[in-house]
Amino acid sequence: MNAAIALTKRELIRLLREPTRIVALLGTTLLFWLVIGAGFSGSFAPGQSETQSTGFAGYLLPGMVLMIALFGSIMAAISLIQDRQEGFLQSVLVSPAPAWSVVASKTLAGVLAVLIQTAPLLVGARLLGVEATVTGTLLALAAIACASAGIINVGMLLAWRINSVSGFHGVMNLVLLPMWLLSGALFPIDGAAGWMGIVMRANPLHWCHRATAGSLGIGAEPGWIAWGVTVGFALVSAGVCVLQINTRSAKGA
Amino acid sequence: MSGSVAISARDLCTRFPRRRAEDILALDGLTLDISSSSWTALLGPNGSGKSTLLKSVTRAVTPASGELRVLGADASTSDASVRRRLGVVFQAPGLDRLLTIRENLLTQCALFGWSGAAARERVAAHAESVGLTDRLNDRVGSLSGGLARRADLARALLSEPDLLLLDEPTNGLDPEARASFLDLLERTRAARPAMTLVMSTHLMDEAERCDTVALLGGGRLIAHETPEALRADLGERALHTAEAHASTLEQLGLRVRSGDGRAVATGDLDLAAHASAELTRASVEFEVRSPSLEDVYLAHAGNRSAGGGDP
Repeated sequence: MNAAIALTKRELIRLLREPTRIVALLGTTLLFWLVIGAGFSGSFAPGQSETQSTGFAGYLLPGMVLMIALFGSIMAAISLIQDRQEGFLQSVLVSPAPAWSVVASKTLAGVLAVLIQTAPLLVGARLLGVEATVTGTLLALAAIACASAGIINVGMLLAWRINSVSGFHGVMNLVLLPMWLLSGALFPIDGAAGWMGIVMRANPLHWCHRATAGSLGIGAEPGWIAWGVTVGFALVSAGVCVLQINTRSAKGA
Repeated sequence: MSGSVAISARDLCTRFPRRRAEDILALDGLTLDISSSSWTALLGPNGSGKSTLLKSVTRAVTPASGELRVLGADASTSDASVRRRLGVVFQAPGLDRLLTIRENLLTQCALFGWSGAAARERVAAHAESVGLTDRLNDRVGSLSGGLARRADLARALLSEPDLLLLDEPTNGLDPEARASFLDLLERTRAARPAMTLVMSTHLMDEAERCDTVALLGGGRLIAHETPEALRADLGERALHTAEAHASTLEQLGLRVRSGDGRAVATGDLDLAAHASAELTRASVEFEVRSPSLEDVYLAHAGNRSAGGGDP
């Protein structure tokens, strides 16, 4: 436990000592708020069932929050490559610290940063016409935390095998970005073509989006499948990540 | 631990797969025993398998075949209890550049399970031992290469390891910082005589400081002796000249190794004197000196130095 706490603390110290990351972290939230609030709200007329209660800006909110979580989580995963390039990772891997402490520290620090970014948007959702309860908002944050943890872990699995940040960006565009595009963030699953609907249902981020949106009162109630997949995404990906790092070979050190 | 073996490798093979090309055989049946409490240099050219052997010991790479025992335990199955007894100084410092030395060392303490006052005391003691007490609050990124190396050594020594591995630890250091780091290593060793040190290097003067030198080439052990014994094996004199005269020297009865345009011939005093007279008569430029470790290196590995960096 000592190792996990120390490594998480290190991640947070790193975050605070990189002013550009702080600016990007808070700036992204502000930017999305402006885009959603001032841009989309007047641009689209409500039409479909899922957008009727909140308007399109409200409908987009969970997707935009998920996108912030996606980019924040990707940064956390990329830090694994940086740790390897700078030599820090190898000193951790040859220590007796368990593999789960590496996974836990990256995940905890990454999720915390994502929550700092997304909480203001969810708390202020009322301004976009989203009538979320306090419990609903907290549940949405929990869903985002799980989604973020899952993305970080998938990212770390990829980063474990990739040597460079530029290489990771390529994989990110190929794997993680499509996961977000097919999460229901941009269009409801009901309107998707048959095959795409199947792909969307197989995509864990779709269920994370559903859990987030449902908790905020946008669209249907999330239901146990959405919550099961959302929590499962975080836990299973963390487990696979621990197994991967436990080998302590590959490109780890 | 004295008298026992810290690292034992038997027929160790390590491969690195390559796309559309033959695998790189980084270790090719390496057999080597490193005694406990000794200071051993792994000496060899780039690609000889030095770093791969160290990575195998730390389990950063998994050998394809053979047996490797580290501190008495099978390296393929050894767990945290063995890692607890290892200290490693890598080619690149294993420190976070954004954190201070103190924060780095405290983080390292936590990896070994120490926290609070015990960790702080350990950090203070090891910072003092490497002369960094007054720099503890400096960020690693602001340190010179030499100071960062010292901080990295303190990190590796925090756990008071039984086996300290150093992978070309003076890479990138200027001569003064390099000498200072090696002196520090000697002081560390004097303070902890039971600790085993294994240092990979391709620098002769670094290897000269060690108790034994394991000369590697092509992923195999070429020789493993004390520096004095390795030099004595060559004879009393080493004669250096151009590669074009290698066959002449061989005909005169000297042991000759050649490559990269030069030849090193070794033998006893009489043979060297005779060869010197012949070369002088033929107006050939040459130099005669007592064999150095560099001569040993060239004699054993002179023709093997082609190839890329260590995998």
